Amino acid sequence: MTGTMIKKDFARNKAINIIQWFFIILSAFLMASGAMVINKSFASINKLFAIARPPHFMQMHTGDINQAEIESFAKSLDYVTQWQISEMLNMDGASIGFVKARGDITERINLSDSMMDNGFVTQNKHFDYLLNLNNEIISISDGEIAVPVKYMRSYGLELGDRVIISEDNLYMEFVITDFVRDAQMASSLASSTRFMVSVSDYIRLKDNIGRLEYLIEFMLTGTDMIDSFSREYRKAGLPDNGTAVTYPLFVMVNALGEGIKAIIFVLVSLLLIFISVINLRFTILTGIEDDIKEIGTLKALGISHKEIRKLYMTKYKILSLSGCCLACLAAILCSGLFLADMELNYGKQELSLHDLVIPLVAVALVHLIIMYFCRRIFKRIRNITVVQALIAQDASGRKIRKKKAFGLKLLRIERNTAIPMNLFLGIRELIINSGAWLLLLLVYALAICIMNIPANLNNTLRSPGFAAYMGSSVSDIRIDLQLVDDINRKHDEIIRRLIADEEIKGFSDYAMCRYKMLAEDRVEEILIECGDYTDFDISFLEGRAPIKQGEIALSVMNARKLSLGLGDRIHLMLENGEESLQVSGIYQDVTNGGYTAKMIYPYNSKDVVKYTYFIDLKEGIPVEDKADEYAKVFSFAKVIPMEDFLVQTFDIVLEPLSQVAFVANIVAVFISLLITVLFLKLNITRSCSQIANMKAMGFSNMDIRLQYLFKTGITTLAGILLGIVLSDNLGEAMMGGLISAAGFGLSIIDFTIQPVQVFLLHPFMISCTAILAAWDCSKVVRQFNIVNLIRE
Amino acid sequence: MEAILEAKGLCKDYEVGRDDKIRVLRDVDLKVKKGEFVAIMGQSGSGKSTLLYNISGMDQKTSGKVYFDGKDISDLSDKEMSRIRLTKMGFVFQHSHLLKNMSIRDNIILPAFKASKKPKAEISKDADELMIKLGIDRVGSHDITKVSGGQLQRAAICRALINHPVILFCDEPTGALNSSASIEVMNILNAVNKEGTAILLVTHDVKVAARADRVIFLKDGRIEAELSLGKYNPNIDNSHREEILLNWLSRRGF
Repeated sequence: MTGTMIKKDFARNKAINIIQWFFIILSAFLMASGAMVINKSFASINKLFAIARPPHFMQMHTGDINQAEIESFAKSLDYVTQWQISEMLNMDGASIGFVKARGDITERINLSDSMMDNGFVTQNKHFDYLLNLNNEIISISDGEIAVPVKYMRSYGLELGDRVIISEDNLYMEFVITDFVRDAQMASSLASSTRFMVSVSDYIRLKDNIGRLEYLIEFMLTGTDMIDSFSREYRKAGLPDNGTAVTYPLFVMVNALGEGIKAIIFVLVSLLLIFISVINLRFTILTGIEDDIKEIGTLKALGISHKEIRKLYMTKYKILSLSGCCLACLAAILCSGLFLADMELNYGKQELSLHDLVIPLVAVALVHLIIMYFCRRIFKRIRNITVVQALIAQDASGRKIRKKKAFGLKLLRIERNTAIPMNLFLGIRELIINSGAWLLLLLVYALAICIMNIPANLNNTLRSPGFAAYMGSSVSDIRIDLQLVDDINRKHDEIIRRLIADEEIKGFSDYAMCRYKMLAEDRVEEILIECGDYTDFDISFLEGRAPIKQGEIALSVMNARKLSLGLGDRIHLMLENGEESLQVSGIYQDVTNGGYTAKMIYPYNSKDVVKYTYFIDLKEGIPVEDKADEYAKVFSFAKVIPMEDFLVQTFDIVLEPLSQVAFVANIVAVFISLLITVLFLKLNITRSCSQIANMKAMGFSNMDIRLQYLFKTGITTLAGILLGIVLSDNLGEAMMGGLISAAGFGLSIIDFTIQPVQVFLLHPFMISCTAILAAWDCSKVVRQFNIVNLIRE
Repeated sequence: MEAILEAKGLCKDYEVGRDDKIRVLRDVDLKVKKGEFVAIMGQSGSGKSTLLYNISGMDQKTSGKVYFDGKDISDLSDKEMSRIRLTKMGFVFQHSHLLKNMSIRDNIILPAFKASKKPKAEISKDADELMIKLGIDRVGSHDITKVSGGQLQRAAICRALINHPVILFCDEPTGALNSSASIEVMNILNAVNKEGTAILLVTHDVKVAARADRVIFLKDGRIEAELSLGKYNPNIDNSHREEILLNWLSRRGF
């Protein structure tokens, strides 16, 4: 009997069942894929790390180093197992070119536009190996080069292509013989990357171009020793004018790069499950209403509500189970597609039994969630009495009946004196059946959120005013001076030039110095920017900029790390003793890994790690030209127009974000279309007798279709409004949370909205989709005729 | 008297399976005069209801012509046909077919508000009068699931009459009612007819058909015979009308 019932139901509601099945498949598929990506990522990262052996502690340094000093330091600590100093030659992207020969066509690519820092190295001796695509330690001969996989993917490079290094006095050509998989810099989030050449080629390069940087690397007995090691290192006063990086950070950066994709998969999957469940709720409830007589009869015959529920649940069990199985299979088959990037970065892994279990568990979870909600919805059967079912033929609960009675009273046709009849009937139906139409409203609100949130984030990160949120001043040009010899002489040179330049309206300069501070019982290092903050225009989350000596402002991440709040005191160890400073404000910062502080204090020039300059130009002076001019004059510094700085800082996010925003639009329109069709098809089919009655009374097909257009239109409008409010408020909070979790140093985001897009374009896309779907779905009313109804 | 409705050579086929068709109406010619009350009788499957729905434009005929008030309605657009249905025709079915989610009163008023032929206050007054006349004024605000079958059918008649149609089409209007409710409904229909509204009614019931001016007997989709009974007078004994009709019908194997 169940089989016949289900077969009949599938035949009757083909389109509806297919759409529902589709949503289940899609959500289960994404969940399974997300789970697989997470699982595979960790496995692959571990495998790569096991072979490449990235250092537990690495200190970057430019300038002279004393090898003997480092050696004796390393030997003095029993938990240092290995150590090495490797050189890296940092090269300007403009000096690096790729030559691709494909048949008769030769293509030349230059890296001048690339935002990556490109370093040239030789293979390390003891650990931190560069691996090839087979996860083997690369060895290279003269004239050969191994290029980062990142470039292989971005520029479609192949083995045998050539790399040209050229500058005024040097021209070298290399053949690509391998692609580099780099445990330190494999992540798509890493902003620097390593090329590998032979020792003699490296010496020739070093003699001619590039800036030399040392990577001082240590392997310890375990990761638990890293903290105490880094304290010892600082205490020993060893070379440290660059960034120090530790093993957990390598793991995190790598995991995050791949993890973002998985998180998006899981989030979208949850969203689809939500849509599936509200869909199911709607179809199940309408199904119960349609079958109310049958349910009443079954109950009158003495069949328990549990058995009746089982009868109905079977259909949804079949839908969900078959959908989940198919999704699991699809996820396993398509895994290559989602894992391709990761496999390139970390190496291919064979499919193991474990890999099959993970998606299975994920889809089982989806199935269980769906079944749980189905069971809850079917609880309503228990509350239907035989009398209610057979005589009143009304499956609705008491609450709904009350609401309906109220609606009947309030929305009497005679009360309507102003609104056209079709519009009035539409509004009336919306109010009386608000529960059902709420489904559509929610879907449209969700669709708008899906469209607006990525778009808002995209616009916000690209807007120049956002600099104020990132710890940067809102200015035209930014200059960074760091990692150079004789930094203070170069600083004086820049200042002299800036003062003399008449095209400059004003500038401010800040010196980032390394200080020691007392944190509980130990000494910690802190980077503090010193300068004049009276006119500084960054936005403070709490408090304000330091305006007098004795005050300090902390970045959010520093405040969190040190557990300090507004008004708390911080103790710095200066040359002339200890100095206590009061926290005057907390701000967001994305520079220097998010850990910064600001104070007004006459700094000691030997402590300076970095100088930053913010320059405002006089009106009419082209920013790009000025930036180019300074880039030439200050070849030792990094000169960048503020807008480009933003794009570069968020490059890793902005590029995929634009894609996400685009895909989100398609997904939103697609979901709106599918659900509108599903909802209206069901609604219209169920209302066929009502429609036929109205037609017999004298309503034309156009009248009925107009009513559906009004109903859909009003729902769309309400949904869009709700969506805009939600995306603006909830979206900000959600994105703030996500970005904060991602560790960019931001915790609050105030969306910069592009009104045309958010208030016009997206609502227009959704309403057009909904209205067109309603117009098309309502075509079917032409077939409804009271004659057919009576004949049935 | 002038004809309000006229069918010429009306045919209707139904598709059975992919290629097969059955002809349900065969070249039916029928004329209903203004203010006339015509009953259609016949065996089950003789095509009574099909004739009613095809002649009223509710269903799509296969061939033939139908004239309403002298105008060919065969090629009217959906909008034009709907307007005629709304303002000039009334329909009463075996079941009331009232709209859910509307009170009895709203169901009655809806076609008049839609037609907007009169000011709304006047429509409300008309509705009140009709409901009083048909005895359902007390249940006007009730939901349609909360009243009896007889009351529902009277509400359906009110709805059919609210726009003062020139003709009323009734398909077994008493089929689902008990005998006392049937008599009430038929009294109402006779009263309506007396006021000038033509009625074309399909029925199995001899008592109901005996109320008509003229009875048409349909067999295998053709009009086989006609019987004129004259105007019904409620103030006299009408049992002879039923006898005449019964005799006439029994000669036709009914």
